[in-house]
Amino acid sequence: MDVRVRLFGTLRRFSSPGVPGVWVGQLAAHSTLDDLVKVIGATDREVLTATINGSISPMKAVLHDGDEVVLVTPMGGG
Amino acid sequence: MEQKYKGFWGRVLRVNLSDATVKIEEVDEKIFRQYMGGQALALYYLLKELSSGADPLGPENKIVFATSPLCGTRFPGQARHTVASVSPLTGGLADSQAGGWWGPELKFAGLDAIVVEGQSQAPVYLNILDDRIELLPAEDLWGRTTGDVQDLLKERHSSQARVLQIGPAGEQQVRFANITNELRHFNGRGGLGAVMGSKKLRAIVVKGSHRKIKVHDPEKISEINNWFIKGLKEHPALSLHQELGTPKGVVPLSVAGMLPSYNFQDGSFSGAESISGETMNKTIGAGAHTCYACPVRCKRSIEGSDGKFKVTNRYGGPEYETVGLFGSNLGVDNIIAVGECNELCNALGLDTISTAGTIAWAVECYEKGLLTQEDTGGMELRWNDTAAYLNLISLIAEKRGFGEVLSQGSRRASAAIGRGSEKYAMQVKGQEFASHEPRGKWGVGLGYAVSPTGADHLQAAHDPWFEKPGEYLSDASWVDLEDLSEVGCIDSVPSESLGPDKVRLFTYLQQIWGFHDVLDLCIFVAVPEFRAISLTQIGELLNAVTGWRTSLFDLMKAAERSLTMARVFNIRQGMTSDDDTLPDRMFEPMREGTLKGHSIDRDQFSRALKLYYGMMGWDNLGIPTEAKLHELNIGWLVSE
Repeated sequence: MDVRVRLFGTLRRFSSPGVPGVWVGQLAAHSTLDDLVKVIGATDREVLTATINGSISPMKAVLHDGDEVVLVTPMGGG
Repeated sequence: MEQKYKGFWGRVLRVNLSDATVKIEEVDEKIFRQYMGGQALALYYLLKELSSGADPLGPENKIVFATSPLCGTRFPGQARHTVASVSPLTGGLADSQAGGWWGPELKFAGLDAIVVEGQSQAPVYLNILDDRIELLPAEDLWGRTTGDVQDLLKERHSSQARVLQIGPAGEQQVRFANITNELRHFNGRGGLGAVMGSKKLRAIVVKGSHRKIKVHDPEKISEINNWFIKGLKEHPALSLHQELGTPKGVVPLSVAGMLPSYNFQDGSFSGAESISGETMNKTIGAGAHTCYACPVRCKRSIEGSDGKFKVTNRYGGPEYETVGLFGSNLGVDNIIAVGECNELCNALGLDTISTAGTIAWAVECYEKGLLTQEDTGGMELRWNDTAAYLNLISLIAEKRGFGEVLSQGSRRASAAIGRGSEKYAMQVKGQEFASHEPRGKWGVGLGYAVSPTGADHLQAAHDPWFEKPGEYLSDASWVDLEDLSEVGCIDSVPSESLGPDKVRLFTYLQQIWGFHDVLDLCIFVAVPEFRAISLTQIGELLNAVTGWRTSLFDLMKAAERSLTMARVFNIRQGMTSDDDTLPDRMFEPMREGTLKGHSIDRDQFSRALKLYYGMMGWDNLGIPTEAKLHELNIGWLVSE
């Protein structure tokens, strides 16, 4: 299935070529957010909050074809 | 002039504005070894020389400008200086660090610090060209924007001179007026600009010719510098910081439910994308700039217009705090509008955090019917109305009409208005909240409450980094909690907790942040999140500069000493543990957003305060014990 992921914070380093802040790719059916994080190359300790199609979701949530995911890391200010 | 010590001069300039005299005082190395610089050095002078209860805007108040031995050396993040005094906003300590170019220039002129006392009858500015130090008339500068004054002073003295100054708001003694250097760097908080204004001191111009600070071990500094450069390349947080600057946090914080919105009623904002660092880069980005000798280049330049709002490339782009407070916290979803508010505040010399926070208080009160057009001089106040906010900024700086009320800050303004409006003032000790929502990170709430300067987001690292175990990704890559293993913190702690493990973590983090303020070292160099050098390497850096044998233990103690001195300072100014509190809203459920319904547990918060006092060696009322003062080698505070 196709998934589009918007990456914020330090996770931006896992962006697909030519699209800063975005990872686009395919995942096996029934993949979870946990699986997605591994495929991207990150570790779940870097992820503070994840949303699927705008809703906050636990890392065990199952993804579906066409889902839009947002992953964010902890952030400060300054 | 010979530099007597490695890394510093042992020379402090004393300026008496009442009798228009200046003199250089020699300072023993022992003072620098114990207090090091920055916040602690400034507090040393303030505690030695001020009487209890000093009026912040009276002639008895003093204002100290302090650097550290690191300042002016060729190392990233060293270009900061501290300004400290009695705060016109809180009545307690005002202590604010700024980066930029002025601190190193002061060192190049052969000075470590300046103590300004008394009050001038007429406007003046201080001009320092090495040992040629003079007070000059400033009538022609009075009333002009910071941009105009910088141009005039550079033309008059040297294009290479560095200008620290207040704006018209400082002249008018607006209680949250700031101090700027080179128009883009700010001692922003606590109303230090009003203190300079009360003394009729508009600017301090510095040009030094001793441009190479003598250090103990230049090879070691190069070695640590090379380590930093490696980290800068490899470290994802630092490269992101270079790319987007501090506004990188806008969208992530909104997604996580911690982007203050509508005067801290909500934590997620539908317009977050429109005011993000990414959008700023795309729409009005005009490159990056930096502080002296710093390769991080986290400062934004902006320029552009959308027909309604306009920004020039004069005063720098807004930092995250300004974006949050003039953006989501006022319901504004236009980054150019935010940029224009930032520019106007900077031109007039106003702290953007307190200015926007006070306006947000007024808007919510107007919405709730607690303020009417009778109070506002006929103005309607609404969310997402930047044209009105720009008008209010000017009125505040001039202390005119409703601006006179707002110029006092949200605590005094709400006390004057009454009608229950105090409940909506998001402030601690009189200082407005920065753009961080404590209900999703309770340690930030504790930091706001116990900060000696009132609500301050830079007391410690924020909780979410320590929710999960740390790990080494590479020698020079981010590790968060693993970083803290150097001080014995190895256990992860939930963000929404204030149990003993969180209080311990906070106390240690506050001391880590604290020694950055003592060394005037930028937090974007070594703290967890941005770790490019380790905490231990900071001690090694200080030793390479000074020839001392400072350990991480010494640095932690220096910070603890400084925090305790700040506590004593505030007690002398009449503060008590009752001032270590948070607005009721923080204990009430959040209205909307990812963290809808979340609040801080009041009982946990109360217990955490007592625990924190205990861990700091303070009694149950938050008063440092005599034993603690002696242990920190500041026993002289017992008798004074």
